[in-house]
Amino acid sequence: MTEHESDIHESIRDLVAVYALDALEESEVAQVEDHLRDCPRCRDELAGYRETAALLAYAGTPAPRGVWEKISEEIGDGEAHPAPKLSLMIGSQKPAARTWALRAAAAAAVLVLTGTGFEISHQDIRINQLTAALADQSLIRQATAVALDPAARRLALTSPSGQTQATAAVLPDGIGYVVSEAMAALPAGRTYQLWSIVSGRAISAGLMGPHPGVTEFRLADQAGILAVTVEPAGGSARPTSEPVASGSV
Amino acid sequence: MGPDLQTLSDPALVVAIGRWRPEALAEAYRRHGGAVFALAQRVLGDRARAEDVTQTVFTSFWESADRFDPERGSLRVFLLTMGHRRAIDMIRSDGRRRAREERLASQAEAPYDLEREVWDITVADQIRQALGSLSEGERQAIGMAYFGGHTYREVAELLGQPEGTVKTRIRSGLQRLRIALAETGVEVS
Repeated sequence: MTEHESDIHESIRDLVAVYALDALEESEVAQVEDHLRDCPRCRDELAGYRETAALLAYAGTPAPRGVWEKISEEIGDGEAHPAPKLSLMIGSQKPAARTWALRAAAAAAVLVLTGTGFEISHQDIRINQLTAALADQSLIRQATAVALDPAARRLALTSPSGQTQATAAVLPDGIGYVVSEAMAALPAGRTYQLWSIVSGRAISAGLMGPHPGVTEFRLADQAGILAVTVEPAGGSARPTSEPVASGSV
Repeated sequence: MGPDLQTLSDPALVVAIGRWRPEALAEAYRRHGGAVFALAQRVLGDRARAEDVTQTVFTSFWESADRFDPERGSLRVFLLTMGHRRAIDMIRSDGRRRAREERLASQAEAPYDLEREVWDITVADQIRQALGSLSEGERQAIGMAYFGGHTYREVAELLGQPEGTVKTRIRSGLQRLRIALAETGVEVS
């Protein structure tokens, strides 16, 4: 490199730092980008500057609520995409006609709510059940938003034999959503009912109906356990049977 | 067993996003959406527009996840870089020119305080310490450019300094910061 070339390189290196902060004049951007294509050393420097800038920006705030719903909606109607490689419709049972966005949102809700790995086929079956059981798309969106909230607590509701029946996510203010995983449909005249257990006392947290899908509920303050019982349609003031599923909050 | 998204590394998550798995994008959003939003909000000073930026970052990431190269840096840096540029584009778009001129005028009166912009308590101490290694001029130039959204030429104009000085200070400041931060062991997750 001649002395002149080396001077040019020095001045470009200043510009690379400025470029990392998006603070170049528009007319200079192309020049720097051209240089970056040819100069691995400056590319390395750029990566370092960007990381440094990112540290200054570092903010451990939760992702804003509401924005994910818009993203989900936007990516959901992308017909230009090939079908996702994760098949959401395997097995003989065809899901009710739903938009892809709805299945995507449901998939996000299930995965985030459970927070554990499952065999793909299990997911698909659950998603089919979910989409078949659910009429209310906005409810899934809300449940997804809560499940994505880093402040939310997530819990599994298990049967006395230890099988996961449902999963739930609860915000610090007590608003929560429960998603049925394996709860059987009930005969006419019966409903699933949710209970907050506070120091051994059961306080109703809401009804899930006879065909549970996604249900919003309100957890009582200080509740240590969320439980589900089978009650007469309309619900009971106190549980009249043993819990079919429960989980520690 | 399928992969547990919450325990996947960022690069593995990006692979899943590349396969059009929306729940993987949801997990990336859960991890990094807050940082992207917070940076955009500080640059733009407006919640609604910062939400727009956040939305654009993740939807375009969905379209072009293959542009992320784990060799070149972390996913968070990649997304923050996208978000910062998008926020700066918004500021510099014609429709915002007037607001920007007003901002220029008001900031000329109140000099930028980079230190006050750093507000994540878990790393704030280390970053504050690292910022201590910069000269006042370096701090000012970096803060006005990165958080204030000014070009180096505008920074020079606002501070009444030669453009060359501002460019050099941005570079020397970033280099010094990088070294100081490496010493304290802070990393972008």
